[in-house]
Amino acid sequence: MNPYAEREFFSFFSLFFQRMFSGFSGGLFSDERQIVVLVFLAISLAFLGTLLVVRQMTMLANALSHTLLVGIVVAFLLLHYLYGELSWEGGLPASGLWIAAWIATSVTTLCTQKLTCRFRIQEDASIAFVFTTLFALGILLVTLYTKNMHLGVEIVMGHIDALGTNDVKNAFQLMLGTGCFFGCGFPLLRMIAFDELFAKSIRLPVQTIHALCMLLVAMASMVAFRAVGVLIFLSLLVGPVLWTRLFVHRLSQIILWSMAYGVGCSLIAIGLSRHILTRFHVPLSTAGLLATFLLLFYLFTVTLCFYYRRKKDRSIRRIGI
Amino acid sequence: MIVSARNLLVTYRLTKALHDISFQIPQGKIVGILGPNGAGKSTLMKVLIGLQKARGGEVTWSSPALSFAYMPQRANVDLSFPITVREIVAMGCYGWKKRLWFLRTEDKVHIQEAMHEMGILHLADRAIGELSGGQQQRAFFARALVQQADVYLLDEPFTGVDATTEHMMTAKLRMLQTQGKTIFMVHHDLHRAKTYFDYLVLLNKKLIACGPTEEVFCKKLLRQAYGEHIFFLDTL
Amino acid sequence: MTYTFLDFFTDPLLRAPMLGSMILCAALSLLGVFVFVRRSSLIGETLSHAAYPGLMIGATWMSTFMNPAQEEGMALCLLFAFGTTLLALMFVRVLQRYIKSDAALCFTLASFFGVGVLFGSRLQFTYPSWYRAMQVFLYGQTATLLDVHVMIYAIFLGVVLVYIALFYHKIQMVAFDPLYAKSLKVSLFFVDKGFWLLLALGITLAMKSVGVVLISGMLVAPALGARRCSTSLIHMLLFGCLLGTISAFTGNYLSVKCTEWISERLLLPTGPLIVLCSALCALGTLVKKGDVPA
Repeated sequence: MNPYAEREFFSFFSLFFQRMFSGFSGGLFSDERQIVVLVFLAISLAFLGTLLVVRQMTMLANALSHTLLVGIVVAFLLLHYLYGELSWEGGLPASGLWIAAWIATSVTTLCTQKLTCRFRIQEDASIAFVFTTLFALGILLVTLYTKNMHLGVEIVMGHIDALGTNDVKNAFQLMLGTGCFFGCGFPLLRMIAFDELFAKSIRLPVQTIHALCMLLVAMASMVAFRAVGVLIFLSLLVGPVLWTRLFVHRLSQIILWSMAYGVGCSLIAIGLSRHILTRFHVPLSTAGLLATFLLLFYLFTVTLCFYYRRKKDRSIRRIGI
Repeated sequence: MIVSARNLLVTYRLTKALHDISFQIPQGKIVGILGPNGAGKSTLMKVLIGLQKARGGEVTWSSPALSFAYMPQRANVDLSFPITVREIVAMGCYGWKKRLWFLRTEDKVHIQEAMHEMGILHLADRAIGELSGGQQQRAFFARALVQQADVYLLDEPFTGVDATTEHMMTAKLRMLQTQGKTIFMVHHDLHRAKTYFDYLVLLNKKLIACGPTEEVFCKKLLRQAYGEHIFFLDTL
Repeated sequence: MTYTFLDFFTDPLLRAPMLGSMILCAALSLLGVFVFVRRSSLIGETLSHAAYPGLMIGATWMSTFMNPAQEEGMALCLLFAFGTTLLALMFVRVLQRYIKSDAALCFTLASFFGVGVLFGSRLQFTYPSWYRAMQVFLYGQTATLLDVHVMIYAIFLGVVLVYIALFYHKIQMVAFDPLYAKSLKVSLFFVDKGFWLLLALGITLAMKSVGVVLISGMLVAPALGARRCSTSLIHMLLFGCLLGTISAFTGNYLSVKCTEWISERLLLPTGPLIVLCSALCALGTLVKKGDVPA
């Protein structure tokens, strides 16, 4: 029996914090799993999102999240061959995720680089070409393997109510991995993001670090596709960073504020979802709520900023500066 | 001789960016790499430092333990990046054999000194995008100074820079020369070339000339490099 | 049941999907070439995903007084989809003035699709039949095209051809050097805004056959293949159009024939097949033509 049923917004959170401080007796309920996975995801994506936005590689992350479909199918087939029948419920084990992420990253980056460097195609076109082709291939493989496109839709949409313990574990490992990666290498990552040529001149392993970043992004979208779907994953990747960049202009601060904002929005989205279910008996998608909230709050903040700046300009003009 | 290049061949897709490049540079000189647009000057610098591989030929430095400080062209970076001047100058302290994470007190002292020498200490905590072109170049130059290398390679350091900055940087380079450092500079305009450099490498995809400035900086060789239409405003 | 080559153009079940997708892919390839030379290949991705919330909002409204079997309902939903695509276009253009275009595209894509998912989740609960009908647009269903759709697509192709004929030189100028074009003080309204309007229209129309998720492929792949085969924009347009049409034909052909050759129960979706065929054609031209001197 889910203790969160029939709870409204504030009582939902009071129960959650109560259970959190008492150590989640009786295991995690589905709402709690959602919160935990989204919070871990928001923290990891704050790191990765900041790096991708400043390096202008967000559409590459978009491409990667699409080509994951191919990676997942290949990993699934491989694991099926090695270990026998696998079920989709409960999530893929960590090994499956790593294989899928590695396949997706390697294939996407290799193909894109080959097109850009060898065949001299402009970068935006090569990214678009590679990921739509691989995604189409992925859909075809999924259809062939499962005789339906159900899997494909799930990857695009996500299914947050079906999160299992594997997902929680994977999200936690992702957060740890990202945290360590950024913790250990923050000055170097900042240097590589800002001035790659200089970083190469002091003999830093730029290509390796780049590959590791993309692998982490692939891992993050693997964890995210089960919870929120690959497209909302992009929302959580880019949204908090864009909002934070309205006010904050130092890289370390951008990361920390994006983390806080991402976590806050995720909590609000989950709480709202439960509240609307209780009050109006309509099960709205948490992922959709999250993306919509990120968009609306961003627009709201931008409008406020414009209004405030216009007021300031007008008062300055009045004083005659 | 600090560096010698033999029969360098660098290709870019199907064309030759550089070919038949052979020269020797003595230590302790300020070397100017000159040539028209597309002559391969930046490419040569990248090949010297090992950032780009040559298809043929080789580059030999006098000692494998030499340290380099490279200042890339300013157009390579995104100046709206959220980074401060201090953080940029601090980049010079990092490296495989130097720091990878924490900076020690002596590093911070070097950073302060470098910023003070370049007159940007008061801008230390400002974002790079807020500075003028000259101030930005001073920040990148300070980064190179912090590296305390044996060889300095600067790619068009005076582009878009005011006269004060140019004088400051030139004076600093002269001081480095007195300490026995060797400096390579890609320079795009000929006006001050005679005063800045003791040694010149004149390029136009192939080597036109390499030697002391008095020998290389003459009308005949400049015409070979830049083409017959070059017009001399004053006597050389 | 075996079909001959001519059956694909005469049989009432097969001719609409075949002709419809060929005509549509021809039109999309032409627009795709312009998108390619303007270095905006990724905007197709953003706009196609931005059409999804329009579908869902339209369906939410339609579901209150119509059932999904009616074609008018579908058409109105597509109108809403066109609306949100235009909205996304304006949003991206405004955002690109203040933040990097990369992040602007990604944020618009994800946010708009998220809004669509939100409305979709409510629709799934209130009118699941409408929801299922809209989900079809994600991957497209070429097999359900009718003769009337073929006519609509043919009209669209005609509009695109007329547009290119009228504004070719201006489009070329804007694509190559927009700042210079602006400095000449010529009227760029039809070239700039008109082009994006046509693109939005094309994407909305293509949702039925190729689907939201794969439209981007149909825009990029023929242009990519055509790039190698030509040095002038006119030739690129011709080759792109040819590549697009051929891949649409091959995709449809294989989709039907694979069921025949391999298994009765195997139903390969046409949308992905068309995209894969165009990708293979593009790769073929790249490899055959090899390196081009700098």
